[in-house]
Amino acid sequence: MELKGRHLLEPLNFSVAEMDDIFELAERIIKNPKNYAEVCKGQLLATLFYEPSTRTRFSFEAAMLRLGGQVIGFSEPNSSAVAKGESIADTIRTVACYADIAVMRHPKEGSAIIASKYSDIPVVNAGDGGHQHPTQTLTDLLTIKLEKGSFENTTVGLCGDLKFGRTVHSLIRALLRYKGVKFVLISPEELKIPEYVREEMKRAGADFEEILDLKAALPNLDVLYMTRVQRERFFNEADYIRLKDTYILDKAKLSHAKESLMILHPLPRVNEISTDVDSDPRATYFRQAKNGMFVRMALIMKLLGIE
Amino acid sequence: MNIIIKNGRVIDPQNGIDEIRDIYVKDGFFANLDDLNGSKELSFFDAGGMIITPGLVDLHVHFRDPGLTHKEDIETGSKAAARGGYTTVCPMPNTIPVVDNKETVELVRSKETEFVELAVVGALSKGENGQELADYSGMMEAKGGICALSDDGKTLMDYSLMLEASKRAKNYDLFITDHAENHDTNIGGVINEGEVSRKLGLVGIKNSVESDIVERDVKIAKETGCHMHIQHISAKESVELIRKAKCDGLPITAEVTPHHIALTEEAVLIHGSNAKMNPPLRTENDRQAIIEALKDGTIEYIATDHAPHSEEEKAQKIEKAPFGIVGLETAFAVCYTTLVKTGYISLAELVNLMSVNPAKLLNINTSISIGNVANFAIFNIQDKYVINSQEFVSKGKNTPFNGMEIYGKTMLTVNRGNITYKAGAFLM
Repeated sequence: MELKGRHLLEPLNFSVAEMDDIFELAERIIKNPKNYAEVCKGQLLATLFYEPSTRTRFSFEAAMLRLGGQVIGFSEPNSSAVAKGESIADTIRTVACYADIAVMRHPKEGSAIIASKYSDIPVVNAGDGGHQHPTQTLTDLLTIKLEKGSFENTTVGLCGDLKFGRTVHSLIRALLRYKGVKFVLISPEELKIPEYVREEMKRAGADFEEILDLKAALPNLDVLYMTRVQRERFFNEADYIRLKDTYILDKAKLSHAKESLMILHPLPRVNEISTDVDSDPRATYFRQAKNGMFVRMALIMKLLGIE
Repeated sequence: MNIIIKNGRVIDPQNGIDEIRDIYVKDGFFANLDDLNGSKELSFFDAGGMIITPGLVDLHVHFRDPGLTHKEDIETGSKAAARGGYTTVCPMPNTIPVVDNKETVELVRSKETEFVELAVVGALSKGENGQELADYSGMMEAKGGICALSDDGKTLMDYSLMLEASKRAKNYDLFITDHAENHDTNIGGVINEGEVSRKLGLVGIKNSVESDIVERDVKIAKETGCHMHIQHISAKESVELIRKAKCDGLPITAEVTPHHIALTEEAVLIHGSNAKMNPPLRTENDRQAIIEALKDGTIEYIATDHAPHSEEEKAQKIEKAPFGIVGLETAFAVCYTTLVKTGYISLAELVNLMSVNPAKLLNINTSISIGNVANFAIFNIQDKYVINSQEFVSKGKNTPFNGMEIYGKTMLTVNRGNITYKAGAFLM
C-alpha cells in the first residue's frame, strides 16, 4: 500500500513492510543527504503545537527544512483556541488550505485522530496526552536497526517507569511484530508494565521477564532503553529515595554490560543516565535524536508521495 | 404551560433575595407578569407560608441503569429526584456496564427524562478495575459529555495511576469525585468501628479508612492542581484534613450526605441494614465536626449518595446486606429539620449547600432571575409530616428515616418550566 496521503496517528498504523520502506529511505538519506536537499521545494509543513515540545518541533522543522521545504505553525498553546474539540476540526480544515502536511501535538488523547477526520492533508501525531507518539517509535526502531542490523535475537531491556512510559509501550508493541526479540522489563514494583501490555506480550508468545534490579539485568542486554523514574509517582517520598539509585545508569553499573550494548533514551534526560556515561561508545541516545530527524525526513517524503 | 406562584418566600442567595415574592414562568423561563398576558394554559399556585428555592442539585446519585434496574432505573430515579425538589443530578458510573466509554455515556444520556437533568459522571479506570485509565476523551466527545470522574466505591487505589488520572482530568477541566476508602485497611467492615460494632459483634470500619485516602487526595491535588472532590465525608479526621488543605489554597472540596448530618451509629441499633452504608454512620463527635464544617464553609455541598436496593437485598442479615440508602425524596426535609430548624445554619446557607454551590461546580446557573431557565422547588417548612417510605417513587424504600416526623415537604418542583412533581395536597 502506498503511504502517500496517509496519516500517522498511532505507532502501528503502518505495516512492517511500510515501516521497512521508511527505514530504507532514511538510511539512503543518511548516506547521501545532499541528494534530498531540494526534494520538498515548494512544499509546506504546518506544525500545530497546542502544548510546547521544543525538541519534537525542532526535529520536524529541521527535517522539512533539510528537504528544502518550508515550515509554518504555532508552538504556544492559545488556551481559548484549545478548549473545545470543534476548534481542532476548524483549525485543521483551515491549515489544510495552506499546507501540504501537518504535524500536531496536543495535551488531550485522541486529538490527532479527530484532526485526521477533518483533514485533506496527511496528519502526523507528534504526541497526544499520555497516549501516542508514533514518530518516537519510528526513531527508536530505526536506531536499533541501524546499529544492530536487525531485530532478531536481540535482548531488549526497558528500564524505569514502564507503567506510564508511552514510548516504552509503543516500542514493545512494535518490536512484537518482529521474531526473536527478548524483553527484560526492569522497574520498581510500583511502576511495572500495565497488564494489557503484558497480555499482548503473552499473546505474541514473546520471551520476557520482569525484574527489579538494573544491575542484575545488564550483563545479558543488547539494547537498554532508559526512562526516568519520577519522584511524584510515589505516595511516600521515602520509597522514591530508597529506589531511585537502582534505576540510574552510571559508569560503575555499565561495567557489567556487554561491549556491544546500545543505550537508548527518548530524551530529555534528567539524572537517570549519569553524564559520565555520555562519552562511552555504547551511549547511543544523541545519535538516536539525530536519527529522529532522518526518520522524519523519510516519513515526510513518503506521506507527500515524493519518491 | 405558563405558571404563576403567589405569596411564596423566595430564597435566592445568588441575588441576595429572601422575601415574599410572586414568580412567573413563561415557556420555560422566569418572566414578568406582563409576559403572561394572553396565556391560554396557566397554572396558579398559592405558596403562602411556603419557601421557593432554586432547583436542587445533587452531585451524587446511583440510578443503577443500565444493568441493575431491579434496584432503580433512570426514569424512577429521575421521578424520585423531582419529588425531592431536584432539577439536576449526577449519576455515578458503577452500572453494568460501567460508564467508561463514549457509547455508554450516550446510552445513559439517551434515557434522560423531563423530570431531571443528568450530569453524567464517567469512570476513572476501565470497568472501574483500577488497572487502566478509561477513555476520557471518548467520554468527553459523547453527546452531552461527562462532568466528572469517579471509580465509585472501588476507589482507584493505585497512587501513581490516580496521579496520572488527575493530570489527564485537569487537561479536560474535569474534577475527580472520590469515594475515600482505603481498601487495604478495610477488611470486610460492616458499620463504624465503635461501641455499636462491639455491641453487635460486627467488623468495624475505622475513621482512618476514609481519612487515609483524603490525605492521599490532598497530596494529589497539590501535585497536579486537579480539583479533587471528596464524596460523602463522614469522619472528623477527614474534615480536619480538608479544612487545612483549603486553608493552603488547594483545589479540594467535600460533600456530606443528609444521613451523616442527621444520624450516628446508634441508628444501626434501630434500623439495622437500612442504616448500613459506606462510609458508615459515625459518632456524635464526627457529626458535630461535620456540622461545624458546614457552618465554616469547609464542606460546601450536600449530596445524597442516593443508593437504592431492593427490599430482598436489604432484608438479608446486616453483614450480607448491600451498603447504601435512598436519599433523594427526604434530603431537603432532613437537612432543613436537622440544620436550619435547630439554628445551626440559615435557610440561605442550606440553599447554597444543596443548590447554588453544586450548580456552580457543574457550571449551571440556578438563580431565580428573569430570563433564566425556570428550575425551582417549593417546600412547606411550616407543617410537620411523617416520612412514609412506601410513598417513595424510587424503587428503593431503604431508608432509616421512615416514620420520622419532619419539616420541609416538597410541594412542587419545576424543571425547565415543566411541573415535574406536585404534592397531592397542593391545590392549583
